[in-house]
Amino acid sequence: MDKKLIKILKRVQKPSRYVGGEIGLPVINEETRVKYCLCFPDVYEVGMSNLGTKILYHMLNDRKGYSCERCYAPWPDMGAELKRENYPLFSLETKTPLAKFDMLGFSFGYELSYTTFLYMLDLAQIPLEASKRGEEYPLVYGGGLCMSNPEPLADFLDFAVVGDGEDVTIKVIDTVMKAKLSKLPKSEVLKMLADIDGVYVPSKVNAEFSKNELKKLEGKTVKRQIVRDLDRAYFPTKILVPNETAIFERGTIEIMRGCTRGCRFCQAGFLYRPIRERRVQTLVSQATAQIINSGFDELGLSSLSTGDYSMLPQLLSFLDPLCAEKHVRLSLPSLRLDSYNGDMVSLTGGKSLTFAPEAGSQRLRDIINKNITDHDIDSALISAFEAGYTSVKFYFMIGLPYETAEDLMGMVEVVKRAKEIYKAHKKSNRPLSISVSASTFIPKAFTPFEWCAFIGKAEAEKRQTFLSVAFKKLGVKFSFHDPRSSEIEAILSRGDRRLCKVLRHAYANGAIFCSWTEMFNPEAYDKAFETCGVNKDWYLAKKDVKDVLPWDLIDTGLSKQFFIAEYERAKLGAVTKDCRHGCNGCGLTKMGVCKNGRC
Amino acid sequence: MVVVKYKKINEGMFFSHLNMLRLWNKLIAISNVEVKYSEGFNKTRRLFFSSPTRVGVESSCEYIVIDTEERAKEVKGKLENNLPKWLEIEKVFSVDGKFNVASMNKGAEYSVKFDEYKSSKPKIKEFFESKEIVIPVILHGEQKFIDVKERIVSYSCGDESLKIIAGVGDKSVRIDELVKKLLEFLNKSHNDYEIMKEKLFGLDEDGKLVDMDKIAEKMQKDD
Repeated sequence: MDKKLIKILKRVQKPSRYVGGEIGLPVINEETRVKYCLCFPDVYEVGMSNLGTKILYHMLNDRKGYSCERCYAPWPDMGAELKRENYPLFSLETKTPLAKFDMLGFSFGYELSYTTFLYMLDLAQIPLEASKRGEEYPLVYGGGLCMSNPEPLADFLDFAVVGDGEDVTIKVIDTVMKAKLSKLPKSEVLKMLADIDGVYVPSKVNAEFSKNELKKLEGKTVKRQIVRDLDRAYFPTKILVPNETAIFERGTIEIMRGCTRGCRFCQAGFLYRPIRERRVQTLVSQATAQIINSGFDELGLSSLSTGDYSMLPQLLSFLDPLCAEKHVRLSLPSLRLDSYNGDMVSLTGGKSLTFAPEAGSQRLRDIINKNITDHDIDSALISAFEAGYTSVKFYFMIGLPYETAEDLMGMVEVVKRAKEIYKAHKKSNRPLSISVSASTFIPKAFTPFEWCAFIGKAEAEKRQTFLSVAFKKLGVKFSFHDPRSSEIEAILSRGDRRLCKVLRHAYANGAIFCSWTEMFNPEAYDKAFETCGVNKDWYLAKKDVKDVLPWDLIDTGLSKQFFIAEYERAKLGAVTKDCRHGCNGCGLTKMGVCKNGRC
Repeated sequence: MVVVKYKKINEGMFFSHLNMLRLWNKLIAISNVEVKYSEGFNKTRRLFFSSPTRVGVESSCEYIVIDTEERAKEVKGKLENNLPKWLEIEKVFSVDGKFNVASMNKGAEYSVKFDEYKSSKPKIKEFFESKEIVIPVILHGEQKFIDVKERIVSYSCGDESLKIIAGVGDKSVRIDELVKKLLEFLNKSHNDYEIMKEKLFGLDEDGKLVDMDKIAEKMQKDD
């Protein structure tokens, strides 16, 4: 480490975020033909918990002829020091300035990280707009869930990859490697990249606007990439031990990818289809290796809905004794209410359980296709309280399409019922602790609700106030998201390339780390919209199913007709069955990747 | 019990004490050292650490005591396969009975280097001979200023570096703040310094500071 960096690090909080050298660090092949850095537009502790980047990082470093370094967004104190000292942002492994890499891959899991991405480029002394980056600068691309709609970042990204990253990343790096050997200019490299399935090149897309509307989107249709055989797909068995406590400080095995439930608000549920499961044998061997190699005291099973893993009892019968022997806690996040039973509850251990009914009334749960009944909620609570649990957290959403005052009261009723059930089934003299969190519904691309309106700041505040008063009377802790940040997320989620200038201005006005409550700066965005003359309301309003949408060139395999049909069913309050129990015609079978919900 | 004396150097200086507790726990698990666990509901590994070293300070005298039945040689072999590059094991030995390095530790020697150190020697003397040496500390989340003059056991100007012996525990001195204060006195840049914690001291029967290594030697036993 050079002396200047040491001096800088002595002035910042938590300097170990920036030094690398973690336990378990792979050997970085510095002789590789393509220098690649995986960047995460959030702080170290958040980025080190991200499963997707862990997979790609270890996959590339375990592969002969490839290498991958990392960079996370420096916290503002470090950012200010780097600027003051004119010290460009660097990779953790070799401290190479980002501008010296051939490729920078950014992972976008949430839209509020977009300005932090610009902040990282700026700190790296790399021009923000792709058109201003000459041959001497790296190719900058995006991946992750948000890249199902890359248009709001169209000016900044050279390209985006859509879908599962494992295979397409290798193809992209191989292409850049070939192009580098042939000394091709960037324009040629982008042409070659555009030919790869799953690669979206914004500069090759023509977007036409008329007044407030997107009129036309012309370009190549990009197919979402799907890893068909998850069991044989790469998964790391040795992961880095973070220098600072990560938000999820645990080992992780990904038991399955995808979800067949079809909750109509859930983007991940649709975008990770179909369900692909790993075999129990594979998972046990991955879990054993991770426990041995990474020393975590907790092992988490990762998926969108752990209870839906078809071999869960068999898997747990192997993992439970393994974890007990190694003094490792087994953690089962993402359990649906209807998958709770006595055995599961005892295995999850601890004193606090989290339930996500999402909506308070059966009517609204049917509209969103949550497929959970009051009976499911009550049974899960009984199981939990009989197993000795004394603390429950409920996750709800406000602002869902067709929500009424009765639905809000429904949330209060669920909590009241939980209190009564506790009295009848408690195993402890401790008082029941209940907390409720209500996020604000955000319409997302590639869901049946992609055409729905965002509820609006004022209405969200009104409903939050109503719930705050009701829960206060019940002595229940109630938390909610700042409606102003939900509004920005809603705009960016369904945004188009006109938002690039807004993002640039918002960043210039000081918007960074916007997903952090204490860092969110709504004025920076308000000023940016005003300066750019971009009308927020257009992005927040209800859309027509015939409208051209910014993500229309992305082919996820799920048809628009399916989403329209689901939207219509929602209006009727009709539920759609889990597609493992019969095909609902989402379109994936036509791609040849799905049979009854499975690959 | 097995005692590990190790160095925390280069990037290692940026790891806080809390980080070190976490990382040693992971390192011991990865290395498969058979450590004993505490009793009770939340069982934790029985590991004992020397007093915290300030972030930004390198150290060649960190200790960790591991409650294990394994032989020192085995423990050393296991750990060495998994060490990050900024952590070097100096020695590993078994001890008879308790070697509570944190409670025994009463002082530490630091070696301090900065630009133009040699020409600053007369002024350094002036600094340490002043009536009081007031440095900032954070107490209960609030910044306060305390006089640490009495907590500085000794100082000496060596050829290449300044040596300071200061108290630890309830008589501790924030060595980085002391050095910053000195640099301020010398009209020098605040962050342009290197500090290496070189020795820990316990007390002998007469209440005099004695090198922790010597105390350890007396307690050391053959495997």
